[in-house]
Amino acid sequence: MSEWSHLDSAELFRRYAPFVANFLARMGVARSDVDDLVQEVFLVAHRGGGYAPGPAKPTTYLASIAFRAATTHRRKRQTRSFVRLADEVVSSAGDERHSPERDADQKRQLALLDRALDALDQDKRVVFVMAELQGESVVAIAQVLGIPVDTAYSRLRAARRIFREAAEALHIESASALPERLQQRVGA
Amino acid sequence: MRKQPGPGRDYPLRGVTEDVSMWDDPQESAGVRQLLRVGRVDQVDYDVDAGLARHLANLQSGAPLPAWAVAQSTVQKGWSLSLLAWLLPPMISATIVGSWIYLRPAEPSLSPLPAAPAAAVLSHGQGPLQLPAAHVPAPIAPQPAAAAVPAAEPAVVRELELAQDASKLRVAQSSRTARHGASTHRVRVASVSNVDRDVERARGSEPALESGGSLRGIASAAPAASSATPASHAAPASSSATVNSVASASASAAESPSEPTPTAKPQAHKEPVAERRAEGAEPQSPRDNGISEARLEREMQMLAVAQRVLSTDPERSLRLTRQGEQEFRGSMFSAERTQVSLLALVQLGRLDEARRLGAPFLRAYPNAPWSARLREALATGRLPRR
Repeated sequence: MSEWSHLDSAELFRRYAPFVANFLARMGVARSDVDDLVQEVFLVAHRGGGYAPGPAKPTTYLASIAFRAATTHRRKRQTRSFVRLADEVVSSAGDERHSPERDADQKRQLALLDRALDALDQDKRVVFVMAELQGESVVAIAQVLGIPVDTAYSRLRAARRIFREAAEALHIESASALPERLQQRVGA
Repeated sequence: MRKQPGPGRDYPLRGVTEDVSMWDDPQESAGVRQLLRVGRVDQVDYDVDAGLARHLANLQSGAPLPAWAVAQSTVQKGWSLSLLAWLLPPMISATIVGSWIYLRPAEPSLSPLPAAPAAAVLSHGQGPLQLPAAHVPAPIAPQPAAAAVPAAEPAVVRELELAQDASKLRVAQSSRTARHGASTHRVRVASVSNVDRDVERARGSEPALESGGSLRGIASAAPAASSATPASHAAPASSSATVNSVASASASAAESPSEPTPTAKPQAHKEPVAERRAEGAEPQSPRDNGISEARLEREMQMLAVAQRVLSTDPERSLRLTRQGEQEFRGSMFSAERTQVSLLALVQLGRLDEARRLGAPFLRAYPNAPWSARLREALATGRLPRR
């Protein structure tokens, strides 16, 4: 039996479910599937004994579980990256000054971000998301993923290069012509 | 030379350190930084209260783990078993050689007394121990001919060899922490020799192979040495006067713990060997734990082998699962074993039987981690890929 009671699990969920949901979204999980995977992540965390205070932060610990969930989920839906519709991108809750123009621009930027992230494979994507979007250190990422620090740096370096190229291409080219190029890159 | 990881290492493409994020890098283009800003600021609009209610409901209903979590834990177990298989041979060799060197009988020329037929010399790490002639066990009659009972199948021999390896590993581990008393040494030797004897039986040199014989050997050796029950005081029945004879005699006595020999019992109470054994008695619970661990280990081994050979040798897989069900009926792996046996039936082409047995089974376990795979196998008549 887990040493974490339901209350502990509830507290962990209450504090970090939004983080896990965001992480999963950044890892390419469709918004409609995010809640299912959030449930799975916290169920696995609970059955595994919950988060124990240590060198890893709760976010890092949960991200490692969420990464496994997202990888499996993505494998099931390998083609979704290039057929995702714009309406899957939900509106931002981070900016309180809503206006139609701002919302539209935010949606467009989010769509571009997701497409740029889709250019990365899962191994590079998790390192990139945790380092660049979640602000984790590379050493912590390497520990959580169980990879050497050198490998984590190498993946981050490659991910930055690919993301940069994809982002610049996205800003230059029209969104309709981009998927083929990204697909060629991923295929290569 | 290995590069130094960590902060401060130059980022070769742009001349900045890798710990400086792209967001903070002024050389990054505005487009890249804009995307990163959106990625940091944007939050998924997640309903925490609704999600929490669903989470607590999942916990209370005992929802099964997702398939990806179950599969990864299985893979990790597989790695553990593989590692164990690599480590076992050298550890076994070292244990056998070490035990032989430490426990070998004293040289006859060094014995202060002439070697008489009625005397036994026991090496227990503190010099030879002389047994009075009255306490030396009588030779036992040879076992019935092996031809009376058919020899075990090679597959069963392999399973017993697996159990033998596992028991020797336990012996090696326990020898590091066990006390260095004479009785402790006898426990170790008894365990090894019992398992060896069971393997020999399975190979056909002795009759009466029974399922789980080796484990019973391991289990029975422990009470012989660690408890002071009447059975453990029973007189040994071996003609050899070496340490191995004591080991096998202890096992012989322990194999029938509920049937103490009336004639042997009073004699055994006077026996120094039995008294020394009683002095080295250990608490009850570790012994029980050892037995249950050994049973669990054997059950897991049988199940793992059955799963491994499912596609290549379904007949063996089916035999192992049925043997496992006989030995460990109603255990925690019973359902898992049943689904392996159903898959083996499918692989053997006995589809009607598999479907007949599988339908109620799947009704009982509709959402187990392996239910979907079994359902697909029963529907298509072939094993799906994992």
